This record gives sequence, C-alpha cells and structure tokens, in this order.
Amino acid sequence: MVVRFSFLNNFRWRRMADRRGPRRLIVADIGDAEVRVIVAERKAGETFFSLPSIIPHHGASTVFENPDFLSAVEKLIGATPYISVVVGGSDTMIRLMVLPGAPGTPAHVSHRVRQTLGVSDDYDVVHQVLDQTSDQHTVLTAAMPKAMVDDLDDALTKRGFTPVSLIHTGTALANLSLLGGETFDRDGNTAILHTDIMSSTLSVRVNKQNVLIRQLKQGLRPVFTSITESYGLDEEMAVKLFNSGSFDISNQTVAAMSSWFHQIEMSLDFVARRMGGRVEKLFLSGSSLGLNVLRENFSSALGCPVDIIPPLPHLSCPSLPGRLAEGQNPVTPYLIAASEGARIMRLSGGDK
Amino acid sequence: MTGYNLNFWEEPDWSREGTLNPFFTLFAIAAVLTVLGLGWVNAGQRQLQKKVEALEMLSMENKALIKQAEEASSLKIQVAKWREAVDVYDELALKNYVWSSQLETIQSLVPDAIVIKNLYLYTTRAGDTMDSTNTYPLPAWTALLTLEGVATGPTPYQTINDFFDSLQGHEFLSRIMVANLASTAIAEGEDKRFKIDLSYTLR
Repeated sequence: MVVRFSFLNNFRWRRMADRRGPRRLIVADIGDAEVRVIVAERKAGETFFSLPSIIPHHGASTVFENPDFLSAVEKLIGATPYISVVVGGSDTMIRLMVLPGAPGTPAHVSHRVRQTLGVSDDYDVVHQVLDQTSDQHTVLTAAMPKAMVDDLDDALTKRGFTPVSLIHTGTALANLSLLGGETFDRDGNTAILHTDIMSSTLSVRVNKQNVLIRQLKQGLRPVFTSITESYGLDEEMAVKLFNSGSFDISNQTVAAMSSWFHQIEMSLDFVARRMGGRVEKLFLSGSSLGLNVLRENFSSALGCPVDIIPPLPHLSCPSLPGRLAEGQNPVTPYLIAASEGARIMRLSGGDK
Repeated sequence: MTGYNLNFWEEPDWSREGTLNPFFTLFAIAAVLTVLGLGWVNAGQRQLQKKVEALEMLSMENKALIKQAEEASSLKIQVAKWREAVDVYDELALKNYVWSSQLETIQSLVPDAIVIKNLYLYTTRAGDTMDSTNTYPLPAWTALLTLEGVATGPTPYQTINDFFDSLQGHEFLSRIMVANLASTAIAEGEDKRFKIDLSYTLR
C-alpha cells in the first residue's frame, strides 16, 4: 500500500524546474506506429536535445500498455518528471480557420469554434486567435476526445510524471514551421507534410506566414494494405518491403496514394487561390517509415520539388539512435518532439 | 514568437514547482524544530540525570554521615548513661567509702594528750575532673573531715601543733589530703579545745 502525503507532492530530490518553467523536459511524440521520445534541456538560456529514442507500438490509445514504451520513459523519469506529449490521429482535429467578425470574448470564440468544427461536448477544444480585424479573425484550433486527454494525463500522473503539455501534432508541425522559418523560406513558399499510418498533417507557409494547417484522413495505411494484398505478405513484411525501396512497387503505392495526392493537391490549390502564391517545395517529416520512397512518389505526383525536411540548426541533437531506415535523415523523426520541447523552453527562457 | 500554445493540459504552476511547497517547508521546519527541541530536552534530561546521580552520591554520603552521626549520637547517649551510671556508682562508692585506713592512721597519730571529742565528715560534689586518659569528665568529690578535740598536758599548744604537723606531714594522709589541710585550733584554759579541718579530694 502506497501512502501519499499531499505536502510531499512538490518534493524533489533534484529540482528540475525553476519559476520560469522546466529545466529538463521529456517530449513524447506519439505516432500511429511508433513513439519518438527526446529530452529537451535548458542550460544558461539555451535549449539542448538529447537521449532520442524510437519505440515501436500500435495505436495511440494503447501506448501506456506498451512495455517497451513504459520501460523507456520510466528510465527517463530519473532525468526529469516533466513530460510533454504530442499526439494526433484520425479522431483528433486541427484547423486554421478564418471566422467573420470580431472575435469577442474567449467564451464566444470557443463557442463559434465548436460550432464550426461540429464537435460534441465529448471533445476538449483549444484555440488561439492569431490575427484579427474588424471584419474577420484567424483562429488556430485543435480538438481531442476528452477521454483521450484525461486518460493520457492519468496514465502519466500515475507513473509519477508531471504532465506539462498535450498538443496536437498539427500544432507542433505549425510550431516547427515557425521555428525553421528561415530555413524553409529560402525555398520560397513551402509546405510540410507530416506522415503517419492512419493520417497525415499538412502545414503550408506562404509569404513567410503559416496559412494552412490541416489534418488529412489519408496516411500510409492504404499503401501497406495494397502491398499486403498484391504480394500476399503480412503487414510487417509489407512495411519492410516499402521501407527498403529495393523493389519497384510504385504501381501499387501510387495507386493506393491517389486519394492522398488528391487531398494535398486540393489543399495547395486552395492556398494558391486564396493567398495568391503557389507552394514551391514540399517537405516530408514524421514517421521513420519510408520517407525516401514517399519523396519519389509525391514528387512525381505533385509536380513540385519534394524533399525530406532538413536538419534545423535550432533543433540539433547531439546523440542519435542507430535504428533508422537506410537513407533516413537521422534528425527528422524527432523534429516534431523537438519543436514542442523548444516551445516550452522558449516560454521558460530558452533562446532557441 | 514563442509559437502556438494550444495546450490541452493546464501547465504546472512553475512558481510552485520551482520552489518548495510551503506545507513541506513548514513540515521540514517543524521537523527540524522538533529534533532540536528533542535534542534540547535530551540534553536537559542528561544534565538532570547527572545532577540526580550527583545528588544520589551526596545522599549516599549523607546517609553514611547520618549513620556515623547516629552512631556518635548513640555513643553520646551511652556515654551520658555511663556518666550517670558512674555518678550513681560514685555516690554508691562514696556511701561505701572505707574510711577505716584514714581513721586508723589518724588514730595512730593522736597523742595521749589529745582527746578527740567529735569527728565530722562531709562530702560535696566539686565539679568534674578528667579521667586518667584525659578523655572523659568524671565527677569530683571533696571531703571535709573535721576533728574537734581537747589537748591536755602542760603544753597543749605544742601538742596541738605537733598533732597538726604529724597529720600534715604524714606520708599517706598528705598523699590523699594534698594541701587542703587547714587548722583553726582554738586553745583556752588548761584543756585546750581545738578544731582541725582536713580537706581532700576523693578519687
């Protein structure tokens, strides 16, 4: 039986926070097939990243039942109890919306955002007004099922962590676009597509501003399904075949990705019409699964340069794991987690 | 620009996380004060214990002294009793004092020309005297022996004087009668009456 004394809740043998925020923070980017974990540390006003690890798992809802994940994060709790989680998925939403009129009170904005998203009270909705005029206001909003928000909080609290932030993958992607703005803007108007198994997230940057952040229902699942059905393989073998790039399976993958391509084209066209600027380069980020293969497919389908997101000087990581796919940019999988770590550290005085 | 802050969780209160919980601080201060208090009480108790032990030692020494005093007191009482007993004994001894040798000696010294008419003997308490070891006081008794008689013959004065001198110069009598021998002889007529007081201390 564990007896807890409330006055000891704030007791730390080593204090990993000051009055401005955490000095050390674990960030877990929970994807559909893997969790990417990194530790952000604030030292003398600068942010450093270390201890990156990728833990395979299946399904965001069961991540805290995955012994590999639990073992990995429980090792890290010795480094710091503070943890941030980045999570997306098909039952979550991210939207950059322009609403008519002045925003009014936060409650009023929240009500209008809920109406626009069409979510029930079972969802937690957060929003931030980015820009406003007398005629309209721009709001970035994200929604997650209440149960998911509470379950993640409970699971972490039970294991002795102090939850710091839970943000949507799309929010982290938008923050990544802001952080790496100078790097991306060298190529003009750019977009970042964060890929995952069940869904993907698109962030478009035009004229040095984020103008679209959207979650797409399409991901890598149809590709793996197509390979599985075409070659009679199980899913694990299909993923390996896709990642290796050793076989020409473009017929199956391109066909399976057509809906995905179409959604992205529609989004880019929308931006071009509304903002008057076409996207000149698409960057791919996210899962460690076959980004090189995706790059080729997207490049030929969209007719614009496609590249894997480059390492950002702000988010360099001194120690890197060795279990990445061949040709994979070793920093790429952690950029989403690193962008959230950098955001929290900036709020608490880290310069990067 | 610090980025988009669309956090579904409430961030921890960093001012609280970055500092000690006031309840914990109070608890820690209370614990430290308790430890110090207990230490102080313990030190006080140790000092008290030392004092108690010292008092016990003194008490034991006192008990020994009291015992000695009681013994001394008991001895004193015994001595007083003994003294009383000695007094009683002395009185008894005085009552039973044997005068025969003195009287016999005196009788042997009485010349034919002297007739002893009366002989009186008084004994009185004359304070204390120390014993032979000079430790304990003993009662001293003085005896006054008065001889009244008549001297006859041709030279009664001479007879009385000679008798007086013989009493004073006698070895045995002078040893016990010391120098208290005094004469108030009165001589009138042919038969001269006289009175001689012999004073001596009885031991």
